Amino acid sequence: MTRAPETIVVVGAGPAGITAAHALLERGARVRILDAGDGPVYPTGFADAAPATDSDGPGGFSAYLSDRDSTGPDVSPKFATPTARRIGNDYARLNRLAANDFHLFGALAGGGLTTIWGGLAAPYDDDDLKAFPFDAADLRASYRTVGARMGISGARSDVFPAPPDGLELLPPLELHPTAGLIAARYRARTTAFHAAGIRLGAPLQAVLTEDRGRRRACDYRGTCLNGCANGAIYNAAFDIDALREFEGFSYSPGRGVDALARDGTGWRISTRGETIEAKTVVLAAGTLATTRLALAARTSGPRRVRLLHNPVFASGLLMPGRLSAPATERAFAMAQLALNVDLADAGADDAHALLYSTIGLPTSSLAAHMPFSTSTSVRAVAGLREALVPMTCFFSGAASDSHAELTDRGLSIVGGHSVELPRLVQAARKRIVRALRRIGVYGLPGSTTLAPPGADLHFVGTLPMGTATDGDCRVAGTDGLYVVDGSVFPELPARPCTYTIMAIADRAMRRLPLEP
Amino acid sequence: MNDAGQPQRRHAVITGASGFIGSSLLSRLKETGCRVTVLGRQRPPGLEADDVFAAWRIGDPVPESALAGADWIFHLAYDWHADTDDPAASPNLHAVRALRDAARTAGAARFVYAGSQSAAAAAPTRYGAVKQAAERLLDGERELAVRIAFVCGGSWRGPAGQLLDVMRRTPFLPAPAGPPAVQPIHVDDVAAGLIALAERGWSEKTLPALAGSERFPFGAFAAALARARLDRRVVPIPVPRALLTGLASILRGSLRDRVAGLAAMEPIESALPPGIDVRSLDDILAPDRERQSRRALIREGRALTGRMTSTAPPADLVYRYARALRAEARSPLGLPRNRLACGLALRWREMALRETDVRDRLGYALALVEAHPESRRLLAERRRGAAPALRAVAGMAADLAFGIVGKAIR
Repeated sequence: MTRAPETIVVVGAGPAGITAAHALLERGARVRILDAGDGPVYPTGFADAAPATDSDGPGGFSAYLSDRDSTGPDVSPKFATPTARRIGNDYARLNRLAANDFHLFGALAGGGLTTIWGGLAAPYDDDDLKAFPFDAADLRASYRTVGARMGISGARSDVFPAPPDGLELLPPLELHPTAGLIAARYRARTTAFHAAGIRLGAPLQAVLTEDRGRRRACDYRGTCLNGCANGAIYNAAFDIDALREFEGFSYSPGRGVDALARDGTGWRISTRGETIEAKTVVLAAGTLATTRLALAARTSGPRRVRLLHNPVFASGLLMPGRLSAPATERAFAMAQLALNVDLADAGADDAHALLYSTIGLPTSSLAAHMPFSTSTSVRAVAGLREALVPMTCFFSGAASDSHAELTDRGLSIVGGHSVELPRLVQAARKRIVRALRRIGVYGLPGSTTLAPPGADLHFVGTLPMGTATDGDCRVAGTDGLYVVDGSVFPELPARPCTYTIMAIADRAMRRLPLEP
Repeated sequence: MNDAGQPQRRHAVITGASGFIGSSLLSRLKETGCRVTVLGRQRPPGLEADDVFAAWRIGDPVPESALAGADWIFHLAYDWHADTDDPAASPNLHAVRALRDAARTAGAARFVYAGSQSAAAAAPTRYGAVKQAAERLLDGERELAVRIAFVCGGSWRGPAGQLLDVMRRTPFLPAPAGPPAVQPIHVDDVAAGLIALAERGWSEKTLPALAGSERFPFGAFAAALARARLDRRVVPIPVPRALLTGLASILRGSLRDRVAGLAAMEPIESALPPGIDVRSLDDILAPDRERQSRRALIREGRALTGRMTSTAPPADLVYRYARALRAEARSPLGLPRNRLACGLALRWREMALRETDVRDRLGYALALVEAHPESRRLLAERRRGAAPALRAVAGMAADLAFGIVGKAIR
């Protein structure tokens, strides 16, 4: 009598869970994905060229105020979009998360946070990976696999000098004219920028510039903030259909995992709706949800753990040379250019800044950063739109100071920034503004706002490789329990982490011992 | 009344049924199922087939047949033009006597006479003197004179209506100085009080008095009325009472009586029939305040959304703003109506006073504009040329200046 091969349960249908399932299925394993959401959420029916505000309007006055206070102006306007509201509403409650001084947000949807991400696909280099138990070469194959699946556009640049070997890049996205002018001027003065510790280039992006299957190329409609209606920006949910091609795959939406407990030689998974038994469980529910489950499931180790994230500030830049330029109607509305800022002389890791255009940004979110009365700010935004260059700048996880603790009621998160952060913000902004001044881009005084802890959504590092988990993502001291999302990061570089989370999930699942 | 069984259908006779209090009384009597007989100059609306209208005016003989079988007689009619300097000769007084006698003959259960607060005044006007004399005439057990204070609400007629007419024309109002003597009472509460008195009688020594429980100085009362009903600011100018009395002496007719009455106004002790609750001035003015606030929010919505696009905003946008704030019972910001002044006030309150409420509402207006496809386009529209640029720069300069001044005064 032959036993059917075991089904590996993957908890979470975000980028990590989908990637893990992919790797396992390709190796012939049987996989069941449990998704706390009710399936993918696509911004369907969203009108062409509509801005990224709710087309139904802001609702009632109090509703508007509470929305505004929870989503801005210190955090990205993307949290205010209808899609973000749909996927984010119940996340904390269902996962039993509570937060203080922390911008708690998570996605209840197939595809997870890639439903609203900006598509930045930044491969880490050896320097970024210095605290990880492997180097860039070890991740190369996984970067390639994951990158090929997502479809990455871009080109070798000063910021990403070495895209993953063997990964065929799609042609880069067209830059907004203002960003294009900045890039061109940078190329003419590269040496001076390098000397100032700044590297600039178009980022690599998981955004299609060529049609691929049902996904269509970016048409620059500018509604990216609300999620791409074309499917140009990669969403992990797109791959659920591809996974269905595998015989051993099953997908269970509406199965949020409430608890995980050792049961004999396997695990008992209590979900809303049913209790599931499995020998091997792969947690990929997103760092916060995963951390709660893993801390409760393991029998030893602290209940209070460090939580890493990327402190981020936003600032306005102005390129006066573009003031009289004709209005740009269409452009990609997410990051246009990336900057690497060397902060070694400030004793810190590199910072990573992103330059945007104002395409797709609601007037209100821009006006909120102006030191003027509302009506004057609105007028100023209209006049300055073309010349405005909004910037966000991320610092490494070392500048965060947050913790998560398992309590009787769930996971309690207390957010914070390191005492060094204000100094780093000053240093980074000064460095960037000084360098850009040479090419006619100026900082707008009074426009810098530091986002609250957690507003970056790059939550990682609660179950770091090397201590809480091993290099293959197995939770230390357990059998058959794996964590493949951001939780396993030992440190958090300033560059966007999603691509690397996916690559690590891919690598770990290719190394997971399967039953013969 | 048939104490044991079902109350029989009441028969009420009313004079002055077309008047301010009379019309409210008539409709209340009809609501409670009374049969009515109206003695008056014209037939009021709302009479049914078995109701009777008999033509009668002050000075006419009382049609006794009309009073036959009446349970209650309400005498409200008063002819302002009929008064004489000697109250004893006033046709108004004769009418009271005639009706009283007719009621006695008919064996009516109750004769209720609408008297006045003025009857209490020490230095009576002709009106007050007549009312006072009438009180003395009603000495029968079943006869009642009721002192009624300043009647408001409903159709806003009578002295309240005249006061509003005056205030429509002037921003300043001479008002008698002195103790608060206006005791506004809602006309429907007066009607209810009159019926309660007819029903239950009055056993106290003093006369019943239908008056609001609050007392207001005339000026403050008038200003509150103007604000709520006319949406106007009227400034009361305190005038010594003696001066008003002097003024009255050179006036003629009913105006003379009004002014003298005002000068002589004394508060009365409210003596309400048991079970009668009277509403406060706030309650009386609530519907008007509500209407004013709705209008003010619409003006506010127009001002705030209009500031974002620098054009007249579409009506649906404006109403959406007003509806949303009204739904949450937010009161209007109280902005000036003049566009320039309104803009200045907004800028001042946002930048100098740093009023979060103002900033929140502007933000909400902006959010509404952004969600409105046609208006949204205007937001992004760049106006080229020197004038718009100058305007923007002037705006910024004003913002900064207001901010600095605000910091200093804060």
